[in-house]
Amino acid sequence: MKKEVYDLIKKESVYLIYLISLFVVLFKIAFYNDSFMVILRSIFSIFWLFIIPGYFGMLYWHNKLDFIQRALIGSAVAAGLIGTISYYFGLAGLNLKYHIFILPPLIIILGFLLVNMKNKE
Amino acid sequence: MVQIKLDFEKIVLAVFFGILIFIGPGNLFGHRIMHEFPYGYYASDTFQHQVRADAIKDAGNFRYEAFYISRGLDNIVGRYPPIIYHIAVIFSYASGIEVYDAIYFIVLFFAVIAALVMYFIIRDFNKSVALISMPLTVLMISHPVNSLIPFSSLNSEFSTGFIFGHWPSMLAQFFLVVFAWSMMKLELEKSYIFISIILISILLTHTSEAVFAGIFLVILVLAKWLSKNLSWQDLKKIGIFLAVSATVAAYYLIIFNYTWARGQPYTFSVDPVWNGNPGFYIFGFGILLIFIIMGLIASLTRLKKMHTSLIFGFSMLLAGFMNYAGFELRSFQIRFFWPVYLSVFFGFGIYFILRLVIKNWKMVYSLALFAVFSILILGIIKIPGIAHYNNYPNSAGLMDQYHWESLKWISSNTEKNSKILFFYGDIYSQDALLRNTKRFHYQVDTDEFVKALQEKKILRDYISEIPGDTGGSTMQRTGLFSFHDTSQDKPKEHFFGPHDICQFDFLVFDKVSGSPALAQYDLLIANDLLKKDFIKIAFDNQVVVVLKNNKIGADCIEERSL
Repeated sequence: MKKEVYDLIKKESVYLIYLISLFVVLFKIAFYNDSFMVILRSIFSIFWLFIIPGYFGMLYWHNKLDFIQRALIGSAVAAGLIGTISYYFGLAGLNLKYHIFILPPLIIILGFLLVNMKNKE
Repeated sequence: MVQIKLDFEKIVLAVFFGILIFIGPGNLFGHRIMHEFPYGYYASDTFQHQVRADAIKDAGNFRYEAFYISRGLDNIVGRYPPIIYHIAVIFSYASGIEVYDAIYFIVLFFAVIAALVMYFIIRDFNKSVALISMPLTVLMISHPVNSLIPFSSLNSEFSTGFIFGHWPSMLAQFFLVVFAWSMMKLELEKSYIFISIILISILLTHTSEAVFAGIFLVILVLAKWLSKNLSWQDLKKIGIFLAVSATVAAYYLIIFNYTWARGQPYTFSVDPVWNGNPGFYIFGFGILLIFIIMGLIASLTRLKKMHTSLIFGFSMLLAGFMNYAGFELRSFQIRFFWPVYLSVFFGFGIYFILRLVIKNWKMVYSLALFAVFSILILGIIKIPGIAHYNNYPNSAGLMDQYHWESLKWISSNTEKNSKILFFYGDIYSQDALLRNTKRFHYQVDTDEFVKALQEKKILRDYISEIPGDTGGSTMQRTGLFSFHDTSQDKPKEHFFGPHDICQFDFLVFDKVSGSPALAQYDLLIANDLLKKDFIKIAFDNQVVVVLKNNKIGADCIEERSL
C-alpha cells in the first residue's frame, strides 16, 4: 500500500473514532430508554456493516471527496453491496448467519484492491 | 478562518443528524431500539415485511417464500426485491436485536442519512441554499404534517411511508437520493463502479424506483446535451453502469418479469387521490409551498446550466405526479420523500428572493435562516399555515404483548404442519401479522362471522380464508424462464369458502374486543368446543385463548341457535 494512502487511513481513523463517539452520544439521547449495551451493539453494527466497509470502498476517490461524503455515500454503497452479495451468496447455499463475518471484510478488501490499482496506474 | 467555517458546518450537520434521529426513529420507537414485540407497526404491510425477513433468517436465504406467507403453497419463488430483508437479517445478527426491530430501524436510519446526502447534493450547487433547504427534510418523518390550509382533508401524511410499511420503497428512495449524488459525480474516474452498485441496490430494493431513476437519468442527460456538457466519456460511463446493473440484477429481474410485471402490469389511469390510504398532497406544505414554487421559478432562470440538484428536484416532482398517468401508488410513495427532493427548491426560492435585495450575502444569513426555519418546521413555534413536525402517537401500534405471546407460542410449540384457525380478533384484519405463527393458517371471514352472530347461530362450518400474500402472484419456478402459478391448481374454495372448524389442529379466540359482542361470540364458540374432552386449552392469557383439537375431523361442536 502506498504511504500516502496509509497515512490517510491513519489520519482518518481518528475521524472514524470521532464519528463513533458522536453516534454514541446522539443515540444515547435519542434512545434514552435503552441500555448502553444495546446502543453500543447497534452502533458497532452500523459501523461494522456499513460505515467502515463503505469508507474503504470509497477510498479510491479520496482525492476528490472529503471524509464525510465518503462515509455517507460509502454507507449506501456498503448497504447495497451487502444486500446484493448476501442475496446471491444465500442462493448459492451460504447461510445468512455467516454473512456478517464475510461480507464487510470482503468489501474492505475490494476497496484496498481498488485503491492499489489506482496507485499502480 | 476556513477551518472554523468547516467545523461550524460539521457541527450544524451533527446537530441536525441528532435531531432527525431523535424525532424520527427515537420518537416512533418510544426512544428504544429494542422492544418486546413489533413496536410502531400500524398496518398489515409492516408485518408483511417483518415476517418475510424473519422467514429469510430461518431459511438462511431467499430462494423461496415461506409456505405460511404463500397461503400454504410450497416452493414459491422469492419474488420480493431482496435487499431490505437481507440487510435487516444481517443487521439483526450483528446487533443482537430482533428482526422486527432491525428492519424498521434500518429503514428510518437510512431515511435520515438520505436527508444528509441531499444536503451534499445541494451544497455542490450552493452552500447557502443547502443550509436553508435542510429544515424542510424534517417533514419526512412528521406524523402528520400540520398546516391549516385549503384542501386540508387532502394534506398531511408523510409518515405513512414508515408506519404503514412502505419500507422497501423508502429504502429504495434512500438509494435514489444517493443515485442523484452519484450522477452529480459522474465525471469522477471510474464513477461507474459506485453508480452501478447504487442502481443495482435500487433494482433489488424496490424495482419501481428504478423507473423514477430512469426518468431522472433521461432528464439529466437531455439537460447536459442541451447545455453542451455531455461528453462521450459521460455516455460511455452511463452505458457501462447500465450494462453492469442489468447483468448483476438479471437473476432477480427474470423473477420480477414473471411475477410483478405480469401480475401488476402498467395500465393508464388518472388517480388524483390515493383511495384508502393517508397520502401526501402538495398543498400539505402550506405556506412553505410558496417558497418551493419560488424556487421552481428561480430554477428556470438557470435552464441553460441547471445543477443536478434542481434537475433531480424537477424529476421527483414529476414522478410524484405520475399518479395522473397510471403510476398510482408508486407515485404516491415518491411523495413521502418530497420534503427531501423538493428541499432544494425551498432553499433556492428563499435564497433567490433575498439575494435580489441583499447584494452582499454572508454565510451568517444562511445560518440564521436555517435556525429560523428549523424552529418553525420543528414546531417549536407553531404558525398556522406553516407545515410543521408532529410527533408520533404515544402508542405501540397494532401489536401488544398478549397477542405477541400467543403468536410466538404457536410458532414455538406446535408441529410444523399444524393447521391454525383464527376466529374474530380486532387486529386480525391486518392479516400479515398472523404469519408470525409460522404455520399454515386460516381466519374466519369477519362479515360472515358477524352475519352468523346476528342470526344467533353457532356453526360447524364458517366461511374462512387463507390470508396469505398473493402480491405479484404465487409462482413456482420450473425453469430459468418458466414459471407456474400453483394457486391455479387448487379450487377457489380452498382459499375462501366454508371450512369445517373440526379440521383444524388449533383454534385461536380473542377474549376482548372493541366490539364486545364479537368477543363474547368468540368465547361462546370456544366454550362449546371445550365441552368435548378431546379439545383442551393449549395456551391462555388475558387476551387470547388457543384450543388444541386432539381428534381432527371428529364431531367437535354442536350446531345450535343461541
